Amino acid sequence: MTDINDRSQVDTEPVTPDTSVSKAISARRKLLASLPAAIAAATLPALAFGRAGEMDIQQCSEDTLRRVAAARFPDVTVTDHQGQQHRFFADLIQDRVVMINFMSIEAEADYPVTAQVARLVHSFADKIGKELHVFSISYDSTNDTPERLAEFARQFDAPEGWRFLTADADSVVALGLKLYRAEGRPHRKLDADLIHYGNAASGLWATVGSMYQDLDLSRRRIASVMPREVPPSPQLRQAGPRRLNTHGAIYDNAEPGRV
Amino acid sequence: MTNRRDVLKLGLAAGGMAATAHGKVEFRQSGLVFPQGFTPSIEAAPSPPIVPFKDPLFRMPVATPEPLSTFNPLPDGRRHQRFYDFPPVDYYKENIVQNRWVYHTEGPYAQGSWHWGWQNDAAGLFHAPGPTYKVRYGEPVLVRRLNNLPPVGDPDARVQFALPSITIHLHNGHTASESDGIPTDFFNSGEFWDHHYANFPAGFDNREIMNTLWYHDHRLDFTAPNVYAGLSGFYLLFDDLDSDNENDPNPDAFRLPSGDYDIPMILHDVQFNQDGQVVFDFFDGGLGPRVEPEEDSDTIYIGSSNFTLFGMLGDRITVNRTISPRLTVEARKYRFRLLNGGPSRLYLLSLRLERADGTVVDNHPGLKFYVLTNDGNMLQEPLEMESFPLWVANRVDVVVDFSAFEPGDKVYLVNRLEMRDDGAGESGRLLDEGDLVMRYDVVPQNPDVGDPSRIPDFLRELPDINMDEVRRERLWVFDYDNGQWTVNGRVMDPNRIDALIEQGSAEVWTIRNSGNSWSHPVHTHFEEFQFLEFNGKPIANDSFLRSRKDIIELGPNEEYKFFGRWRDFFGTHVMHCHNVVHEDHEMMIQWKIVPPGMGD
Ligand SMILES: [Cu+2]
Repeated sequence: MTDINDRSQVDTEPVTPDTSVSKAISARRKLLASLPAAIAAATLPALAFGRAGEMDIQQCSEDTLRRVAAARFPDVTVTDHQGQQHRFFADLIQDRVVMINFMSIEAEADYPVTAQVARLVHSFADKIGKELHVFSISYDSTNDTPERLAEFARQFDAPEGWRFLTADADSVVALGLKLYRAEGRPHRKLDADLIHYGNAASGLWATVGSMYQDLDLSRRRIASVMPREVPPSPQLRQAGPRRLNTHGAIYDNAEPGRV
Repeated sequence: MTNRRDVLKLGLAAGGMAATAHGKVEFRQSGLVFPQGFTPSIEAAPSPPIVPFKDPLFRMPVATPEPLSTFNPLPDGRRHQRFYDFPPVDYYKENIVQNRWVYHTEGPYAQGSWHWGWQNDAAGLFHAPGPTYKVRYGEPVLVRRLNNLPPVGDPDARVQFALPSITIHLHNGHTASESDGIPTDFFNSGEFWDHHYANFPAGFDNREIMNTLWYHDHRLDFTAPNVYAGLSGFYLLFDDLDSDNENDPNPDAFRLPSGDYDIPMILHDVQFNQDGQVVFDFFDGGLGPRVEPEEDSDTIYIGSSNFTLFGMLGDRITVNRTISPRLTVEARKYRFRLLNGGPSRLYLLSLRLERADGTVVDNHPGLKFYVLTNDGNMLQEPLEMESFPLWVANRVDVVVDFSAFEPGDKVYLVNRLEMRDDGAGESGRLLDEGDLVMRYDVVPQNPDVGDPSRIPDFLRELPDINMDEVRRERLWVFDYDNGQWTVNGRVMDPNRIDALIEQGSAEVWTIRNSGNSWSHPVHTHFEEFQFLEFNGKPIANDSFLRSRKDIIELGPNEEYKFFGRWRDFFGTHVMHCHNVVHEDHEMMIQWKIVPPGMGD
């Protein structure tokens, strides 16, 4: 438990809007040189742009911002791990219940986000590709080729319906900007990231922490945005509270044994 | 007219920012982090125009109990801690449904906006906010809440951004965990939940009596959209002193303005599309999410350019879900119970006078509040204040004495706090003129009623702070890490208990903001606490903060220390940021009350 006098929780150099420029640059230099994997999505644009060569970062960033603002949802072209090209929104997301995360093959060793996604994917079993579509978007545009992503997908025994996507840096940042406002400092002690889930047909969107412990609850959070039918009945079911001193899942207080 | 532009927080005036001609703060862009200069929906797609002060303030109906014989199945006392110690004297039902709600009677708003709210039968009034409970200490109640919202995917589901899986929290009732409405105690369409409210003061100490409470959705991951969709309302508790009777013959009674002169007001800022439908910041709502892509454009959805983890701002400030309403007031005292229902906007409220001839006066002696409560809890003595902050979930009860004004005068409730564009906290500046939240139109007193109400010199004594009861101290650091809102470097995990607190013990908690740009209205459930220190200094005896509270107004780089007790029940509750967008992503911890000897 946290010690009341422990000042180590205080970040000495927080990156905030007013100080972000210089600190982000030095942070990027330091971290890219040492351990890029550990910084994960926090510097997604830095990684994507940083590896895209000599592009003018400032200009690119502004272009991306303009593009996202105008596009509302960036319907960028992405390539999946089987080499097929798609429009991200029109072909893959629209009308579907989806789960989305950002990843890179290199980062996975230190930051096993995709492994956590895989637990969820396998818990949904044959619903994947039918009731739930999963997209893992690489922010390492340079190294994560469709071929490498295909090999990566095989490691996770990825079923049809779980696609690993790559796109040019500008497009990846556009997606990141829409889905993940990842401005902030890298905090290497924090082993957490967000997995987005949503129902694009209805417009429900939420996140679950990627380092979740409770697979059943996380699965249920995602399933909650799937279409469901309530049998027409004048009698409502009592969801809770359950009888005292009885036990069950924390998220379902119905009497044990009830469905 | 005050034209000064006050800088609230000197620390914010650091390098890298520039104020433009219209007073907005501009942050320099960086290619290495996501650019700060995104356009919020309130600027990119403003709500349709309105005719301000056209519509009267909505007055929520008072909740009425129903016969126990109408409950099927009957409530089951074995599901509730101490049910038989506090058997309900009244039973209530809430039927939560979707319908159209009219925020404003002009333009596209007039057709009604698809909304969540309350409707007891198909022919009855559909309304949001919910019914106002007026209940008394010593009279326990049970509330059965029926979720009759259309399920996800139902063709009739028109509130697109909210999840019809709900849990209703009584903020800040002294309520057992199973009736508290914690995030994981949700019930879906076609299900109900029974909430037992024992209505006794914490520790059976009358100094712990609370007066203005509210209820709202608290669903894991979806609190912000679900409250925004309509799920909030008032729960007022009365006792022998605050007795709901301005003519009370009891010599100890406060005799505060009561009945028609005691008006709960909940503020929500809401964003609308051109069809007059409510939109949540990420994607469009109401109309159906898709619009035709334009030629040579990627346009498909309408919404903010970000999935907003920072905050949700609307450009229409509503009071009791009416846009910029008016209220006709007699030239006498009124009690207004002001509540900020969120999602993210913070307010600094004051009054402004417009004479019948159009002259605007900012310094009339009647333009003040007699502040009775902080977080709905009576202060020791009323405070006279010209303005007061109202952060999300704060309840501030005030008396305004309109006898200081002439019939024909118009008095405005004004907000002067400017928010950051992204909704994550104060910008650090005050708005020059401010937003006019609502208008009070002064008419003569009703001679049949007059004004028998009083503002007492003394209200409620504070409970003792006894440091001998303190079993341990804890530190909670609120921050932003890796693009996520964190407490002590961690995101909410519903299966993790972050503190095991022994029943009957006291603890001292330090609440620290490690960010220097954003604000967190931090809320802990179940019992009120008292501040010991703010930024290392004791709280002055005449301070507005010298009160029982359940919200910590945690500004950039600030730190509060409080003394709290945990009594009477066992079980799991939460502490979280009440900028509910932060809460949903996942700025929350869980604590649990355990038997003595089993704490951590
Ligand atoms: Cu917050």
